[in-house]
Amino acid sequence: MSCMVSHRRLAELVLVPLTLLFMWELAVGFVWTDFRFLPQPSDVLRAFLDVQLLADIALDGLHTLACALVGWAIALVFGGAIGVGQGLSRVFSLFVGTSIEILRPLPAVAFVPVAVLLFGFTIYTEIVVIVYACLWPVIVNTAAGVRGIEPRLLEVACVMHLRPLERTTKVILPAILPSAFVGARISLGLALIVAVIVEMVGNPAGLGWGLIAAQEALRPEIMFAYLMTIGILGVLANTVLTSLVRGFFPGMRELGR
Amino acid sequence: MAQPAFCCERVRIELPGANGTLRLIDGLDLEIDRGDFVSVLGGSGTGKTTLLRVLGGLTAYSAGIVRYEGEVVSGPPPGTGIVFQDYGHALLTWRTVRRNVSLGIEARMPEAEVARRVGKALQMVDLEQSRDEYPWRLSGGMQQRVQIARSLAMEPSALLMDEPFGALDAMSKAALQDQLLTVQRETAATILFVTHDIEEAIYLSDRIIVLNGRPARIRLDLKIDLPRPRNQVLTKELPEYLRLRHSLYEAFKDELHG
Ligand SMILES: Nc1ncnc2c1ncn2[C@@H]1O[C@H](COP(=O)(O)OP(=O)(O)OP(=O)(O)O)[C@@H](O)[C@H]1O
Ligand SMILES: [Mg+2]
Repeated sequence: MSCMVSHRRLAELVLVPLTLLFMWELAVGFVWTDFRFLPQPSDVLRAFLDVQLLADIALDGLHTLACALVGWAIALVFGGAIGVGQGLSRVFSLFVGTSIEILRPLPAVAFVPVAVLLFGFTIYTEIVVIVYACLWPVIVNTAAGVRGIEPRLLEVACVMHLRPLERTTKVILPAILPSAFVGARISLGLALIVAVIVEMVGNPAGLGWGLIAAQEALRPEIMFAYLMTIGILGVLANTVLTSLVRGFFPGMRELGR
Repeated sequence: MAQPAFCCERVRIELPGANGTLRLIDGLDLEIDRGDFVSVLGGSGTGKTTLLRVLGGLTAYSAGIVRYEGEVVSGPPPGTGIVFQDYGHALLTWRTVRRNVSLGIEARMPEAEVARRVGKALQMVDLEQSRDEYPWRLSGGMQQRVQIARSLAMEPSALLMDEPFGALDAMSKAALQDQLLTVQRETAATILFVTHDIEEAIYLSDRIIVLNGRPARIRLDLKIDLPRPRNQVLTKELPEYLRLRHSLYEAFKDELHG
């Protein structure tokens, strides 16, 4: 029965998180009294009700989201082009392959000091590091998509006498879309994570900086409010991306119904 | 005498294998007349698919010469279409049935003509109802009909089909065989049909070629003179049908009984 396709219901989706929150509320209230700075979920909820704080969080969230999206979009363009080039041309792959294999395992966060040296504690630092982090999943997944393309499809293009441009736009690019989309989704998540980290250590703005400021002000309930906002933003970004792609490419079997 | 559609002269086909080069076919002489329905029969691994791919310009041959309409084949010859056995891999999953069928013609002619041809091709394979569906939501037989319609939309003068009904159940198979016969009558296309089903070959063909051995040679070349139009029940009760069936099973005795 577990193989049967079923439709998810809201109740099933929120049951476990709500239970965990409830246990947290009870645990802090009655059991772990030595964690003096751990707020209860109700404290966090109360913090959200403060209009001034809500406005701060919204503005900071906007900053983080904008930076993440800009960096992500730049990475999509360049990473997609490099990935397609790598998949299509052995020569190109030989030339860029080594550099990619060397640069890819370096943690993006390690580049923050370098970026700060170049761009200062600015939004440029933030975006550059986001682009760097997002580039790799896009390149790797796009190139894998091109390499994994069904040979039969290329034969079909050949038998149908499609011209090279037609072959690329009508067969190759749509065929790699599903795996390119996997890369895009991974790097969108990364973009948000890296944005927050750079804001904590490089560019004093956005949700990451808000988190640090709340910590320094010894306001744990505000810290958790920021934390939750970051989580919500991540889920939201992923959902919006998936439904956008589903809307634009209704034939993509990989996205299901 | 009219020019044949396909013509092979002393053709040798070699493929790379684990133990060096594999000589699959050697010294093959074959002429296929325009408008003929020719089936190729042979045991598994004899090289039927490879021969079809050579005629369709997808696999290179190493000696001799292959011509289509007098032109040496060095790529898919214009005017030929191929229907692959694995329809699941040959269709564009992201395009609807209609847009799969229009793939080969949409950039070449005005929209109205494309629509007319797609409509006609879909009607020939009886798929008009599913025109806006995606292929992965169709049954296997329907997907294979999409692939056939896609070739038909290009109005080919020759159609190369590699076990197109091999993966289908008996009912869909019979229905598709009759559709294919109708298509051939209406379009007068030359059809080269690879199969391992003896009854299917007799029922459909004007001529049957049996390949066997390594390198493969033409073991039998039979003319099928059964009257047309054919009928799934009546044709298969004719003495001539039974005689052909008998002699073909004789020819395959070794392969059938080890
Ligand atoms: N791309 C290839 N490269 C090398 N060898 C191949 C290739 N394709 C097929 N062969 C070999 O050539 C031989 C004939 O293959 P082919 O697919 O033409 O047989 P077939 O007659 O169509 O068999 P079947 O009825 O099982 O489809 C096989 O031994 C196979 O291993
Ligand atoms: Mg075969």
